[in-house]
Amino acid sequence: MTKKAILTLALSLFVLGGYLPAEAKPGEYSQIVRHLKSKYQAKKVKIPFMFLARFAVGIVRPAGVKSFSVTLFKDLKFSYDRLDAEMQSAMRDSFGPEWSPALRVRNREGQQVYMYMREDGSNVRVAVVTIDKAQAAIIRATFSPDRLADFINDPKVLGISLNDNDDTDVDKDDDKKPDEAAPAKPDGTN
Amino acid sequence: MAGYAQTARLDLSRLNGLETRARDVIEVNVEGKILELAKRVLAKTNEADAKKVGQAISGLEAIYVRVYKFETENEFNLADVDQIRSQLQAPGWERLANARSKRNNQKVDVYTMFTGDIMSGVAVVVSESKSIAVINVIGPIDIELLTQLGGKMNIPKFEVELDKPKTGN
Repeated sequence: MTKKAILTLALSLFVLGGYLPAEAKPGEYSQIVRHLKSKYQAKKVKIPFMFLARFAVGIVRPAGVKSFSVTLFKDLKFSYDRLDAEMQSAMRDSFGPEWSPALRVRNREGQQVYMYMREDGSNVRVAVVTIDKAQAAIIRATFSPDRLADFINDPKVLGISLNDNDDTDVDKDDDKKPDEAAPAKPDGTN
Repeated sequence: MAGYAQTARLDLSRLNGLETRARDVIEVNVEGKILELAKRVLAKTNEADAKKVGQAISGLEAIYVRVYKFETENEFNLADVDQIRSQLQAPGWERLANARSKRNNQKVDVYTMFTGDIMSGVAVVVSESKSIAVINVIGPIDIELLTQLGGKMNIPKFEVELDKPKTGN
């Protein structure tokens, strides 16, 4: 092996080393996934082009959402009587004290919703687990509350306004004939 | 602030006994950092009504909601609810409203806690023949401001008679 190859390998390991421990550590999300798979023999449902959606959200960050993921399961096998207690215990074990249980809904027909939230620097992390009879979904997202407020004030995605009556869109006004443009104000300004 | 939490917080764990018997359970806990973040978002929005809600809840410490629905009538023990009601007999709590209806055996109690002139907590206990709901709000709330927002932003319309400022004559 040449010196250059050894150096490249060492650098690669160093760079990867910075990421691997964080990725390899089983987080709360993986623990819940594992619980659903092992305890209820849940089968994962593949969502086509999910990676593209995640990539797009990572770039565009709509409404302050920085990242998200959705995992769907089917064919869950559980006892209605024990499901809530088992899920509560699994959620408590998986989510540390930094997480707050914000919402829990359950009914005897096998519908359950669990929502945990936590602050992560200037961001908020949300994890939602829903179970509806034999199906389940785990959704997690990280968003910036400040960016969310900005989005509420001025809903825009990739610079395109989502406001129906937004008159700040310069391009639209440019296409209009002079008589269609906004009427001049009494003081002569526009 | 911690004072509000100590006094206006109800021990809702006494309702845990209803868990196993209830058909539907709803549990909402909005507190700490999450509430702070919600306030931050509301304070930053330009919308006037959202800003008002932000102002009205700016001092809030926590909101807890518990709802239990049962399959059949009287499936729960009224003593479980009375344990919550008995906490509201503690000094500081004042009964603001109380309604009893034979229809569905409904009982509604609204309690408020004041620290000086400031409302520092609210508790609402609703029991019917097939359901129980308890709402506990901790921290100062600007009721006048919330009343103005009644009917908007999913805030129910309140019929609250506010003191009118006295005129000079």
